[in-house]
Amino acid sequence: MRLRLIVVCLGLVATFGILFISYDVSIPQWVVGKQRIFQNQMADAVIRMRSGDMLAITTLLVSTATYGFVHALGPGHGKCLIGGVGVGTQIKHLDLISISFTSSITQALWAILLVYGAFFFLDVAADKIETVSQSLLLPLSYGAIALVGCILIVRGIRNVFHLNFGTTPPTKCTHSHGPNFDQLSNAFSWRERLVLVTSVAIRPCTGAIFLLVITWNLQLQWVGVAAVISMGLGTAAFTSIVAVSSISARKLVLFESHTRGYTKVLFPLLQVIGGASIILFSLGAIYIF
Amino acid sequence: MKPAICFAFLASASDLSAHPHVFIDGAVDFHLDGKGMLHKVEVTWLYDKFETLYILSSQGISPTKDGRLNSDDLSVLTSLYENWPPDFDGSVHLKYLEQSIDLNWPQNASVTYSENRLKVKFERELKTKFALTDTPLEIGFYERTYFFDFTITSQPLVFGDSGNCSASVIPFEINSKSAEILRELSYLSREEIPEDTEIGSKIADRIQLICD
Repeated sequence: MRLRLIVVCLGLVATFGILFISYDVSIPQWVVGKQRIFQNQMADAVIRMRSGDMLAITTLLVSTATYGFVHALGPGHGKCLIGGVGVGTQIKHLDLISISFTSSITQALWAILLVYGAFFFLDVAADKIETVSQSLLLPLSYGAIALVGCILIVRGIRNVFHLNFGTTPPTKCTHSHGPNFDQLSNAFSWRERLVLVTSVAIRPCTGAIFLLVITWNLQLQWVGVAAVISMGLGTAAFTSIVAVSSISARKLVLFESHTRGYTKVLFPLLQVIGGASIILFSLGAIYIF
Repeated sequence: MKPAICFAFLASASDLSAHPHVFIDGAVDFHLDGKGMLHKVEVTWLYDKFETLYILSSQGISPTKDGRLNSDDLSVLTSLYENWPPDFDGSVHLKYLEQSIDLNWPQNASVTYSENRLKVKFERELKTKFALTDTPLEIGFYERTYFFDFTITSQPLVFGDSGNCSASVIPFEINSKSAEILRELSYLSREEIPEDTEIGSKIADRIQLICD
């Protein structure tokens, strides 16, 4: 038990550490500097491969994976979403880690499909791909993110009504069914997971689009596929840390309350806070369009 | 407009992003006439390797084995920089006592290629010649949406009858005001734009041109 407590404490510290560095003003600057370095490494590796040095693929894969990791460390919706779900649901570590990886790899595959598909089937110019991505896919992404937040908030409110007052919950959103606390342990359904993965994956990363355009033009298509998947794995590695940290933080909060009978109130509160954070994030993003 | 340059100026055309994806080291030099009036600025962009590769590959251009571009390729690239999109914001912004000074459209573009990086030079005439004084002329080097991250990496030169005129670089440094702007940026995803579509101007390197 003591070991578990230490683990969750460390998770909490890591969570707050990540939150702190994410909002420290020097971090975005640091991320931008690193991005430049990794982009140059990618370019060098692709140039070497174009000259026939196929061993440069290792350099490319390492630099894209690191780019993905650092990219996720900077501003972004993925960790907000994963962290919110980790805090606001009873999802298990491995489940949320698998969602992190599924989201990032789906995002990478979607970028490949979008760019290579546009070139192959439509002969579309590169700038059009980025414009579609920005003007259509980004708003869709934030709509899906808001939906995840809505699910958490409604579930939290319903839990408060159901568990503490025994009244019928409000039913404007119909994403969840009146739960009792035991049911919450399996409360994040496949349908909801699909929304979560979609919200992360639907808007491809601009860096991935650039790289795919370059590799298509240089007829190094498979190199582009491998590099962008590697980028996705790097992103997933970071969001997995957020996943573990957020679940650990939630467990720490609930661990103490469970013995004192606060859980029935505290957990719905965590759900509402997690959901509200996600919705605020998505509203902020939508507002700027 | 051809794809490469179209993409290159996408940010200025459609307010794309708050976070830079293209990195440009650059320089701004100044030309004074015989009476010491500022009449032209000369702008240099040195693209990062990734963007260079993007532009070259989009044009189907491959450097030779010794890392050079032939004259035909350079002509193709130069022609790209002779056709700027209508809302190109120029990357160089002159202000005197908070009043903007208008510049003519870029001209006399030239392109070179070295060490896997593309270098573009172009000139912009002032619409009206400007008499420099001991009140500094402020020159911001930025792209307003910050899709491009411009950095001044060369000491500005003053050509012509420069007299007691001098130009000095003031690199961007984080202060309390800019920290707030960076904080605003940090709340956004890498693919988003901020409410403030002039964000680039607030975190830009600057030059002060002054005549004693």
